[in-house]
Amino acid sequence: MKLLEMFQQDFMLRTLAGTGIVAALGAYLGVFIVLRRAVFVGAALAQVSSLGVALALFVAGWLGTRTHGQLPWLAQPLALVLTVGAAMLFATQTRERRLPRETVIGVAYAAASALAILVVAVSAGAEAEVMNLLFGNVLTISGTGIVGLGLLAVLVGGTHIACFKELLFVSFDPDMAQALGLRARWWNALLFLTIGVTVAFTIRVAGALVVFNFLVVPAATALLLGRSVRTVLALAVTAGLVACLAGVSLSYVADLPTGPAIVAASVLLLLGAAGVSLLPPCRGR
Amino acid sequence: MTDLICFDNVTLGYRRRVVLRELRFTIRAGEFFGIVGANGSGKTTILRALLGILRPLHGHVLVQVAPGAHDALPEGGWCDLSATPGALPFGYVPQRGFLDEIFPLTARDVVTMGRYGAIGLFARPGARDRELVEQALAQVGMIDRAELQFGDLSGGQKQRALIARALASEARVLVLDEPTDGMDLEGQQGIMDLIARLQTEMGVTIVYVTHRLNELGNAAQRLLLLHEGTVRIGPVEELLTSAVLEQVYGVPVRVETFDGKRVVLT
Repeated sequence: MKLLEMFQQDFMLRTLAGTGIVAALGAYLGVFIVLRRAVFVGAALAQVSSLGVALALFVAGWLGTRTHGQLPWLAQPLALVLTVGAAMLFATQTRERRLPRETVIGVAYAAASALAILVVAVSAGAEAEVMNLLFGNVLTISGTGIVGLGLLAVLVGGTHIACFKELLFVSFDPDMAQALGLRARWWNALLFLTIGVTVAFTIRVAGALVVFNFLVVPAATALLLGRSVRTVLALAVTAGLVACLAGVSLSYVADLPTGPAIVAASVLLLLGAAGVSLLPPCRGR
Repeated sequence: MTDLICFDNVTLGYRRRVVLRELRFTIRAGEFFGIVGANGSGKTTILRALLGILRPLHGHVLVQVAPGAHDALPEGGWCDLSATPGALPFGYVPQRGFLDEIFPLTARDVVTMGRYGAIGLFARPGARDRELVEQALAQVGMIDRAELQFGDLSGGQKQRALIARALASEARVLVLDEPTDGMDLEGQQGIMDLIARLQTEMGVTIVYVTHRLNELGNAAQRLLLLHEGTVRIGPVEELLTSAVLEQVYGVPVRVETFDGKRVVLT
């Protein structure tokens, strides 16, 4: 009964719609991230994005602007610029560099996390609201926020539909792609740009934990079950959406925090997929 | 044979670290050109420059473009590879271990990637692309394994799929990086026979990179020997002599012939 009641609440429907878009986008991009063995890209970009918001809060406090619990207008542009900049840095890390990419990602994660906290500590303003502002809250998404997410989905989805084969090729074998005349670095940069922009926008809605979860767990679930790239992409998006619906419902019915409930549902699906993948193959499969 | 690729006074390296200085050599259309050197001698650096992945610190890697083959040079002629990537498409066959087996791709998917350079932006593989993919799979004897996952193939089968991908690209130059590394004798012989057939029957130019001199002694027409900064280039019969090899490697070397095949012994 309580579950039916959830679908009559406007804010819960907005939460489901907003988180659903984040789930679908994150799960899709997550397949590329997991296949490229770069899962901590998502975590590092989330922290860099939060650093952008922290810097905006610092500037607002310094200028004496009261935010009344809302993010200053500078927050989203600053988060976007920093996140896209970090994504480009990760994209240009190639094997002839002295430091491997995962090391650069690790340094960015540590530095951005610490800097965000330090910047908040020296910012004038209501610190009690800061964590909420930094890490988002899926229950407070507005109608305008959903429209914004929809536009992001169209932009990122459209880019990937148009350039799918190039993005897959440079992910699998950038050297052969280059040998055939594709500018591998540019395509790589485009892939990381779509990841950076997605993280910068979705983090404000769903929070770092939920976004990181969608960038890793549904893709892992799908890779356990799928045998072709297209099947894996479809399964990942499905797993993301199912985890979103199950997590939000569980959170409403059992009065649990929404983000962790979504992550728990994602991990349960992953465990289910791991169980299925251990079953002996059916005849004819 | 006409010259197809020209290293014109090329110095290669990474940032300020120079790996090879003032390379001057050509690769001819239709020949089997071998690059031999130990790990760290710079053969992968040459290969990356050849593929247009690494820009020379000095000099130019030039390629001969046929008339009408590339929009940037409609009348054909020599073209700097750094300025015009893809001016001469290469069919690159990387070391098997370089490709991540986590990707859920079938052998046919991998071979189809060979068409991605020619298909153009936003387009999907068409009937002609699919036909070229099937032809390439047939040429390497992989039709019956085309639907297997690339990661599940044996070493030799993976190498055949990668050669098929290079053939599907319709590239006239095949660049192979240690293609028989880690294979048993039967697998090695199968790959060497396939490569020799592609060169003699289809006129494909072969650039073969290896650390094993004996692999190329009877297959290549010309060799580039790399050893601790020394570079020697020439026909196999001139380079594979005791005198030259002892001079390059600094150890006693014998070159013998058994059943008409050249063998280098140390």
